[in-house]
Amino acid sequence: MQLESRHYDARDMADAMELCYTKGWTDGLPVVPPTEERINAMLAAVKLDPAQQVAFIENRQVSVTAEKVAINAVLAGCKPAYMPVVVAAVEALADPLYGYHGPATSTGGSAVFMVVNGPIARELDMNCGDNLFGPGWRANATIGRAVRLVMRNTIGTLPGELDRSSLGHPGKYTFCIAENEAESPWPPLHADRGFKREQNAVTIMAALGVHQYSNGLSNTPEGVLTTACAQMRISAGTARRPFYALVFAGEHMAIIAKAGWSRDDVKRYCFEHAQISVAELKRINIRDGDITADDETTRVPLVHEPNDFLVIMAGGRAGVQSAYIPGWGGKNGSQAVTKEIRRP
Amino acid sequence: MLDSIVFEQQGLPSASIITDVFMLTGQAMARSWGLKDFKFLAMPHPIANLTDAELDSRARDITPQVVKLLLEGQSSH
Amino acid sequence: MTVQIFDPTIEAKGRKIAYVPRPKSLAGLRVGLVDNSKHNSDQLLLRIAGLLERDHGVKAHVMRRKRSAGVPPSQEIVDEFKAGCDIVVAGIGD
Repeated sequence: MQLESRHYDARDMADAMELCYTKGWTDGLPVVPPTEERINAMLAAVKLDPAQQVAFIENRQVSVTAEKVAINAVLAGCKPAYMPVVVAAVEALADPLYGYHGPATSTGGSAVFMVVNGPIARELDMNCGDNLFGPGWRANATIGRAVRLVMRNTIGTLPGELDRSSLGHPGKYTFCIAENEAESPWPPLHADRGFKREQNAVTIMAALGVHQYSNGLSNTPEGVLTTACAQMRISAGTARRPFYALVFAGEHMAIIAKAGWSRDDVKRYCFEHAQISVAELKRINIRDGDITADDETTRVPLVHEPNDFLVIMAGGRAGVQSAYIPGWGGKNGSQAVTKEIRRP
Repeated sequence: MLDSIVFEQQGLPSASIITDVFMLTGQAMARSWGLKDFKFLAMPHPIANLTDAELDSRARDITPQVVKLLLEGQSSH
Repeated sequence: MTVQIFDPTIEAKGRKIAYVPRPKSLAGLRVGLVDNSKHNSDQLLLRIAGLLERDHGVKAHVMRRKRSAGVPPSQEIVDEFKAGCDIVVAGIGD
């Protein structure tokens, strides 16, 4: 297949790795030199022509071709089998509902939280258990990384220029998990978002950091969720109403499953119990203005509607920790998007 | 952030105002649109916590630049 | 043994906009203000419009708020301003 990208010569592999650094193509960690053979292997895995447009990022006027996705997938260390996931995630980035510019450029900048669902997650040996957000699984690490490298290298999302995130967070290296579909009492996340269980899909959400909370005392869903809501109520998304991801790990998942709660039960409970008064918002300097009598009783929910909670079962079997992840900005600025992962 | 590009494409003389910490970002955005010399205006950052008097002063400072950009436009010929 | 590697970056293609001629003056014109929804953008834009009207003969202003700073102006705003405004000031921030 004829590749159109510019190319450069290096003495050997070590030199090629250095050249990638010099050219600014890395996230700070070493990358795999993108040779023609490796790029073609990526393209073959999705049966796409190099010139095929995968996504058009409107706000940047950038057309991301299959060739560029393939190059970045090689850089990230992906296996060719991972390419369909990377392609689907890049398509999701271009969805107007995701609203690329805000999450990518804002000073309050976000990472791209990715959840992979469907049989492909097992086939690719993706992690959905212990050390969920941590290192150790090639698919988790490199799929998320490939998406970030597309953003950096092809879409031009560079720190100080079109990425003005003041603090960033480690999720900007990679932030990709699978759901514990085997043990979850519920249909998988993508089935909650309009897809069939047997389809493969990736959900992306513009996300801030992972907030872990602990509760080893409760044996009811209400008990666990009270802790979650107490901590979420005043968190990064307070008064902005973005999406929120709620990730329940093993022991908490077991409590929720045993009580027979549905995903909607969890969403509704959190919608009701993570609310905050306008008076409190003003007291903590999140909202402007003097406090009126009405403000004490006027309550603002954390999210626009219960469905803006992405409820995910994942994490280790042992441990009384679960997590919430605030989305970036507000729903008007960015929404979670789910795309089908297509097989060639 | 450079909405003036959209409106100029629609045939309306326009001026976009950013805050100065985003100068490099605005320039990168313009390059991304293939308009590397696109002109826009910048005022000091931040604006969210300004008093009324400061808002008045900022508006007074930027308005002559707004007028100039609207009357001169993007072409340098 | 040389190793050839391929570039993951792109260069934006230069674009040409056929800019409409500029007005000779702002007198009698209607200005459309695009509020990017950041706190105080509206306050600044209204003050700027006030000065344009007071000192530069601008006839009237209308302001519309984007639903988020990071999105382009909606088609509704674009259509409304195309129909009812002569000049546009947009901002303020990032």
